[in-house]
Amino acid sequence: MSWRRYCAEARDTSLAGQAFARVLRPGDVVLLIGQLGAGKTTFTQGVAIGLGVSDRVTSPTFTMVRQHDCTNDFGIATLHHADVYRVESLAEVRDLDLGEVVEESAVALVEWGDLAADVYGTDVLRVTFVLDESQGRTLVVDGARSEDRRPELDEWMNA
Amino acid sequence: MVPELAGRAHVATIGPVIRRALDAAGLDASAPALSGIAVTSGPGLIGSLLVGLSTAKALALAWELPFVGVNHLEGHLFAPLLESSDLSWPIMTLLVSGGHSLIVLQRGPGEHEVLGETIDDAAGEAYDKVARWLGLGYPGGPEIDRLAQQGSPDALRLPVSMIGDDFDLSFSGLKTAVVRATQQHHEVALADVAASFQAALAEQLLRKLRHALERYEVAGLALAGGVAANSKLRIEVGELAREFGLELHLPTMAMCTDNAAMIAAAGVYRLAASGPSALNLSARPNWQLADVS
Repeated sequence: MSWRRYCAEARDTSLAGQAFARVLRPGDVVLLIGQLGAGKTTFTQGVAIGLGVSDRVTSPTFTMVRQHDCTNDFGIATLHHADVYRVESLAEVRDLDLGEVVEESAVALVEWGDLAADVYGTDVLRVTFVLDESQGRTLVVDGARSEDRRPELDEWMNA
Repeated sequence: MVPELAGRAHVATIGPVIRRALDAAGLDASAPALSGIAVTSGPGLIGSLLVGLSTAKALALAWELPFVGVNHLEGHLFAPLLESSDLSWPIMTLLVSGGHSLIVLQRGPGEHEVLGETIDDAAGEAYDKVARWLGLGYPGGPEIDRLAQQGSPDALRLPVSMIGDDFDLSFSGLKTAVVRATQQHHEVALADVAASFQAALAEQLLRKLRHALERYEVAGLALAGGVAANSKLRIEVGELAREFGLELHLPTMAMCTDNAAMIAAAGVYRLAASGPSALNLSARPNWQLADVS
């Protein structure tokens, strides 16, 4: 089962992220999968708006992981924004310990998450960014955790 | 560098590095004649920051010296100014590195106002990612810089983002445009892609910097951070300084990358201005330059 949403331009990708915040529950790990320039950071900036983050959310590539405080009604107090782009081995991903930092009141979005799929296991949400020939992209959501979010994801797909 | 790994590597190397620096400076390692110990307390990876902080505190106690925590970005602001003894203020600084991109107005040493910064990727990050996309090495800056000198900057039509009236920067759209353009135009030579990318990135930086110089009257113009090593940027910032009649501060190559001299310079200033830090000073992984005072 998967859910799709088309984004014609960067603004749509941000709005898709903003709406995706309503799909999230505390403890979620979301793997963001797509090539360079696919919209992973833009999507995360949208999620941050949806979660009530007041900091500026920028690419975490250099620092590997950034934490942002959230203000929302979803019980999510912290957004961990990680990026495993520069990571050379799975051992290094394990050292990031994201599974452990995502406690009851936090969620983690991991850019280039497919590179770390073996570490995070299957109990995740996956958002895959598929670029088309023009300027647009299609976001595809799947992963084991999507199964118990059907109503929320149906709404996200059509919002 | 990954937090825990970086932390462990720091533990193993920090002692020998300090010892080598003391020896090179001809200082007695049991009681060096220093006026204080400065350390980066943020922003950065928590593991690395903690190793530096703990070491600095231990040495300050052992050697009975004042200890001061310094912001890494404030250090970068001092780097291009280290070689000048007589500075005229204010100074406009473009700070561009792998993790940061800011335009900063410095009214005096330690008195800075962040006019704008990147809203997505850092400039150096855009270099690295485009280089990796093109199959070049890491870090990508030097390689793209070298290739670009043999290519045509007009080969690809790339967007110059952020034409707005503010001083913020953005490189994500440019990165995406390079990806799209190279997928659609396989025939374009690598050197031409590099030259086109570098020209579009430099044009954005120069436009924003020019905009800042038109808005604020300054006496000097400085370039800082790893991307300050870029030959095209050095030339164009130099031309801008001449055009506005400003004193130009370009860092030496060693002063572009992260280094301890710039942290020492910021530490000297901070010690004089606000005194030593408390020995319970903690690491601040997200410490913004705008919050330094």
